[in-house]
Amino acid sequence: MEGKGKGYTTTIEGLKELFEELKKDYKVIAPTLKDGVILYKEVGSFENIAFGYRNTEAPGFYSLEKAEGYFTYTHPANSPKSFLHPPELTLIKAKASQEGLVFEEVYPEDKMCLFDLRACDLWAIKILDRVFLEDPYYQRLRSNLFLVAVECTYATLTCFCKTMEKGPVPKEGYDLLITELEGRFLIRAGSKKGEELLVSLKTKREAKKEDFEEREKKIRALEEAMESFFNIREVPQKLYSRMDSSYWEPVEKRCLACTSCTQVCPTCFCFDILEKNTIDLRESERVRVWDSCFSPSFATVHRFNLRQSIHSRYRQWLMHKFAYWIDQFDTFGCVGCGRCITWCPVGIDIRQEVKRIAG
Amino acid sequence: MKVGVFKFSSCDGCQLAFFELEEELLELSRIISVEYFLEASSSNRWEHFDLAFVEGSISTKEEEERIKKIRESSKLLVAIGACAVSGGIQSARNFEDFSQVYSSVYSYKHYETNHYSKPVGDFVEVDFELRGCPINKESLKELIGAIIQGRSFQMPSYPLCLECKRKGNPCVVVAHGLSCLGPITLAGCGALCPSYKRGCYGCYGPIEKPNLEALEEGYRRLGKDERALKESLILSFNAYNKNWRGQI
Ligand code: SF4
Ligand code: SF4
Ligand code: SF4
Ligand code: SF4
Repeated sequence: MEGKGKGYTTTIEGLKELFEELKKDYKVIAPTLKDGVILYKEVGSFENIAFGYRNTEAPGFYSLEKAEGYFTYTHPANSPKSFLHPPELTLIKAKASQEGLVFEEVYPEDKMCLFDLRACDLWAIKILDRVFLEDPYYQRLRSNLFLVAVECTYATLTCFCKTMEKGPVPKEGYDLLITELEGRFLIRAGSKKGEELLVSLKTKREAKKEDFEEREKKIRALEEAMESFFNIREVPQKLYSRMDSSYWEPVEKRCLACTSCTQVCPTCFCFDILEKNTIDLRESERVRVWDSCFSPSFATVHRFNLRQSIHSRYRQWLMHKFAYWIDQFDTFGCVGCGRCITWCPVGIDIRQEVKRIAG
Repeated sequence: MKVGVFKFSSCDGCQLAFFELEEELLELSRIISVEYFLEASSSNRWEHFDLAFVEGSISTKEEEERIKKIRESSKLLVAIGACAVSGGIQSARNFEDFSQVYSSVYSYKHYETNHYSKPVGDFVEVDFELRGCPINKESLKELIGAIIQGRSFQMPSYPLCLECKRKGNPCVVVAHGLSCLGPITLAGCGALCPSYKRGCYGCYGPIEKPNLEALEEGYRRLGKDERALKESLILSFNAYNKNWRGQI
């Protein structure tokens, strides 16, 4: 889908106008700079967006430098998951009162706009939608969400959305879609909400054939430059035939079972439920926190951990992403964003493991 | 509930966590009575304890005797802090020739002390451990709450990285090339150091079965000498922890 309705071009001032409009109705989350890393955070001003920075990423490596242009980076280090499935979320509060225990369900009420979302993360949200289909907490946040997608014109060494067939071009699911051209931006709408906002913008002009042609050239150039690592159609069946430990044992020496990969992954959804109560037992909170299949307590049943070895936990993680997920949710659990590769402190590359095991 | 707080070879820092329980003090004073706590009171009684907190490592013959007496007098015994749980910073001598360590500090034989500084658990049975150097108020509160309420004690068994990520920190190893013991260190501190752009130096001690081989590989990758890793572990508070025995 190439965007519903007409396309428009605008300038950086036009994008600022758009940002200000969005801020009236939404809490705007955008890529911003924190301690030398680009992170999604709520931003108060357009100037705080990480425009003109370029991230270089490799297994276990991240750096930033200045670059010409605006949307010069790829996706931030954290993902939309941090906002739609927050790392710590209070679900229920209980209080002792004269009438007995009073329970209160606490729902997040934020109206959020994710500004500058890439194809991989757009897909990740689509996957989370299936996972949290019946979760009222997620659904509350999701139903109020406005999504501004941006087309990548640059990819890092860890990006492999092309292999996963999830990018680099965003296909659907956005309200607005921005493409950076020479000295201007092409904007198109993908929803009625987006269309309405786009039409109301003052700083714009209707896009011409040349604008679309320039866009096409830029997008195709990136797509062609990106490597294909494996054929995903063959991967699930091959993996199912390689469940035997011998395929997985080599990971035992390299993986720390530190959980980082699962935490930075935009689709890993596992959580734990904690009860936090005061010493006098008059108040209690039920809190949902991120968990991980690498955590030693994750597969512990009656004090016995069913996955004692690190390679058995690694197998669970990779098999889930590239095989079980398909049976469970009718999609891969991986969108090829490469975060798990960049942010693994020992630089384990999931693409190489898939190739090694399913190759 | 009768409570005792005891000190062995240590700096007294962990006991300070009890003084931080201000908000809970009123409620606690209804339920517990502090019978023995030298740092807090001048009137102390030693009869029977429902709950004994022990700070410090065991490093003299006198301490070996005393810890056994405390165990005999107590229903539940909790080791608090890196000294009691692992042997503390003073256990660095366990990896050296004792007479050399001794003579580098004292010019003549002055103190009677064991060659090893060992955790409480090497001498008596320990019911609960509170990690950290020092421990934090939250985990102390959680443990006391669990015991009073008769429920299980909720303590992380996972590495610090999980806590670090829940806080939203970008990894300091990847982003800044720093070394960090987070992947092999038990969570519980709230990822204090990485939140201030510093590597974790392991004050909560090792998780169960830490993967030292993988971490060494990580150090090599960062261009850091793996000996530097062993040294940073040995010179730390938790080198003699049971989860490290035989590995370093
Ligand atoms: S693959 Fe890397 S990030 Fe994931 S648990 Fe293993 S060491 Fe940690
Ligand atoms: S498995 Fe890795 S590459 Fe795939 S979506 Fe998760 S973090 Fe991204
Ligand atoms: S994985 Fe693809 S869509 Fe995501 S940032 Fe990289 S190039 Fe863009
Ligand atoms: S900074 Fe340290 S604790 Fe945090 S994720 Fe990286 S290795 Fe783990």
